[in-house]
Amino acid sequence: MTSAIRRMVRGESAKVFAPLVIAVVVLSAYTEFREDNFVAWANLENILLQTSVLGIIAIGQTFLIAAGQIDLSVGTFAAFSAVLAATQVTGGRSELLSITVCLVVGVLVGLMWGAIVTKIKVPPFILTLGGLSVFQSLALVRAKNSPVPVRDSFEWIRTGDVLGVRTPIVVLLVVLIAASIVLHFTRFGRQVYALGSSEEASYLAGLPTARTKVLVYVISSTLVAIAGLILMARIGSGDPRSGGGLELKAIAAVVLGGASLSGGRGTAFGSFLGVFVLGVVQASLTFLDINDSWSDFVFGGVLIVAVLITAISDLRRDNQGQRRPLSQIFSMRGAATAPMMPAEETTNQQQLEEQS
Amino acid sequence: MTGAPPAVREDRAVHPVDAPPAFELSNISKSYPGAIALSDVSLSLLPGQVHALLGENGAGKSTLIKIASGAIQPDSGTVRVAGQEIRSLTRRDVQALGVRVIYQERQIARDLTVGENVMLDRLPGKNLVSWRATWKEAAARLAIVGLDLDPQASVRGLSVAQWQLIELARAVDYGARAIIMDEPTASLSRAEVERLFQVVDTLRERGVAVLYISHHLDEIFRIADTVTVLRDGRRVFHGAVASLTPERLVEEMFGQVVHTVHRSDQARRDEGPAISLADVSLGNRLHRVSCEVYPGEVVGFTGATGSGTSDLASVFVGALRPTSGTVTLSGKKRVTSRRAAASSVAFLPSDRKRRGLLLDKTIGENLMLGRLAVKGSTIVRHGALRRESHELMKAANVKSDSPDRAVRTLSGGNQQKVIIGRWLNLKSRILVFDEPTAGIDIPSKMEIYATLRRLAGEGAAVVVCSTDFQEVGLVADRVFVMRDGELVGEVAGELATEHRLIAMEMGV
Repeated sequence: MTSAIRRMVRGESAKVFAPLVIAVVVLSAYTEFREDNFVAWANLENILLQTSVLGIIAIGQTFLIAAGQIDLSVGTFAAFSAVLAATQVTGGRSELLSITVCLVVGVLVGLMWGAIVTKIKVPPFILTLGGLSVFQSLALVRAKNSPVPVRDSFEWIRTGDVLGVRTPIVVLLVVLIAASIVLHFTRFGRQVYALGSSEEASYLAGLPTARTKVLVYVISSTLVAIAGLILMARIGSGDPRSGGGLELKAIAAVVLGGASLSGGRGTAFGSFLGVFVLGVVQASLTFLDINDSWSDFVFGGVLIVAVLITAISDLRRDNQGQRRPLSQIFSMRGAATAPMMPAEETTNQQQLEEQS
Repeated sequence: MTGAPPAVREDRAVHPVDAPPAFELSNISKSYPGAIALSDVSLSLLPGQVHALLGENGAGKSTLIKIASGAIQPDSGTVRVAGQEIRSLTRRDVQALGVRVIYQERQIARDLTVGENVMLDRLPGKNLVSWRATWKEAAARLAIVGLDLDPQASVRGLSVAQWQLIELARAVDYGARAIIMDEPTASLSRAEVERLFQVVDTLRERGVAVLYISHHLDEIFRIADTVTVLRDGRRVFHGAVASLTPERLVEEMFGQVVHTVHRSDQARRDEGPAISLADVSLGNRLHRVSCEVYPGEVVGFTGATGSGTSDLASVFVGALRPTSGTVTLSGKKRVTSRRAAASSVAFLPSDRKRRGLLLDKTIGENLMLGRLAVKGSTIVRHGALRRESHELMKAANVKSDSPDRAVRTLSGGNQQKVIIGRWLNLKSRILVFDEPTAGIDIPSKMEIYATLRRLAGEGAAVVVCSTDFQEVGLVADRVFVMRDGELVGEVAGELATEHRLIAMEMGV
């Protein structure tokens, strides 16, 4: 097991993680230099707390993207889950029951997406784009257009801690460790990567591709429901507008963490690191007293640079010394530059490469 | 495919032999990190001549094609087109000079019309496309390749052979000097191959130089004027086809000839069939197929492309569910529509790149795909899998130094061995091979046949579905012949000569 971890860290992953770690270190060092106390446990805790919701969603999305799937409805579904829990509690249900309802809805929504995608073979991109609107609307309707305050409920999530670590951070870390183990050390995890790499080859080899596909949707939706609960607890109300844009940030973080949108690649730790970079960017801007409007700019810049680094290093590897015009970077298939949907037919470019 | 080579060749070349080469590669060398792909290779294509390029997989043919088409640059050596030296070619430059490449995989835009595909690289008109000119020019070019299609029809629904001819039509514009064809007959039926040869003859008469790459020696003798043989990146033979015998060519390609498969019927009929089909139909693709395969035997199914051998393979493994009839596995009727659990039925699909391999993964990950398909512990032990990958690489004779290498870097024969290697440790009771040796070299073929026989010897029921008549005759204990989705005859393996099988297929 240790040797496997060593190989994992040394191999592909290191190449992806290094720029992210460097980005974090440079940003932190600069901020620390300008304003003291940036590098401190209190601040780290704050960053982790800020990013716990997005982190859990991104880890769920990692399962989907590694399997060649995608779910665009995670942001608004998180908001729906938040509103659902809030209305349950204010309606007099116990916290435990409210949480259970949310988790069950999460599992059911995952089953629904999984079943539609496997049985009717609808492209998940379009399907969940529809889901994004539907959940946004359902959240607004259920919350009657304004946040549903939960007053003293879920205080243990908002301010509680486990051995001195704040509850949302604990949940995030538990999800991270569990997801890493499942993806790397279980048959199911390896089947996820095989499915994402080639659905047809996996199916013909006898892998349970339909089951794997349904399960990744269930895992993601359940994690999103959990993220919704934390979102609600942290702001003290079920806000139907609180999930907007989370899906794109999550996907960006997953790609930043080394996943390929055409499937077959990506790790939970990479996605966590991607989210963490976003958190550090935001915290730095706050420390440096720069308008928060710049945070998406900086994060987007980090994403673009990371994608370029991955694409260029993939080009180098594939070419092995061959000359190729720069323009092909944009038509190449590489980690982060791959097309949104796995192409039905191999492109000419790929065929050329494969003829060796 | 069949027939002895005619004795006289010289009359083929319409143009005088001393004409300047249409395309000339001189002293080309190319190396990749850790491997020399080509070493001091020269080759010239004369107008109106068909030049065959032979060599087993990994001999350097692909690299040569890439250099000739401008996809990659040689480390040293020169490329001349019509006598003029060209430096740092891009594919577009090469195209503009009249060199056309017909790749093994079809380069067809599926959503466009026949005419647009023919004129794909150069739609007529200055700023706006002139559709009238497009259809007219496309029709003219389709006539050259003898394809009677409406230019305005969609290319969807056409056969692979028709797509290939559309690509040829694209290649034969007025500027075409040399056409490079990479294994053009790989997915064609015999009738389609003959038609392709007629088109090649037409090209020859028009003074086009053709570089023809193939594994099929009989094709070389039918169509080529001169031949170059590559082995390990070097040119080991170069000369007129007329002066050669097939045996001599094989010797040049491989150094020595190994051409037998040890076959002994060990079918265990007393155990009952491992798998049997009863009246299985599949839409209009298979009609009331009934057969039984026993443990310990290799059963071949052969027929022309489109005769249903491939569909039958998919039915055997459960990837396609029959519309009527029953499939019985070891006495139990199969009802599930899921691909059969790999522990009972292993499958080597045709089209290894798309359907067999995880192309972006390593050799090890591809070898372990079989393990992932069978029941086993929930936790994956990576160390144990690694050791097993090493073992399987050795058992399947995959030629590479580490399971961590990307599977895409392997030659076709080695890729196929990886897919077979996947099943070697799993004790599958039934193994189904669909076109097991399509497009791979003869030594790899022989190794794969030996593996099939060994698996049968260990008690597995082995099914080989192949459009290569020679192949099933060589490896199978019993051969079924198929036509239009029906079984039209059965013959014992030792009697299954290619001639006999073709006669059965044609209903003689």
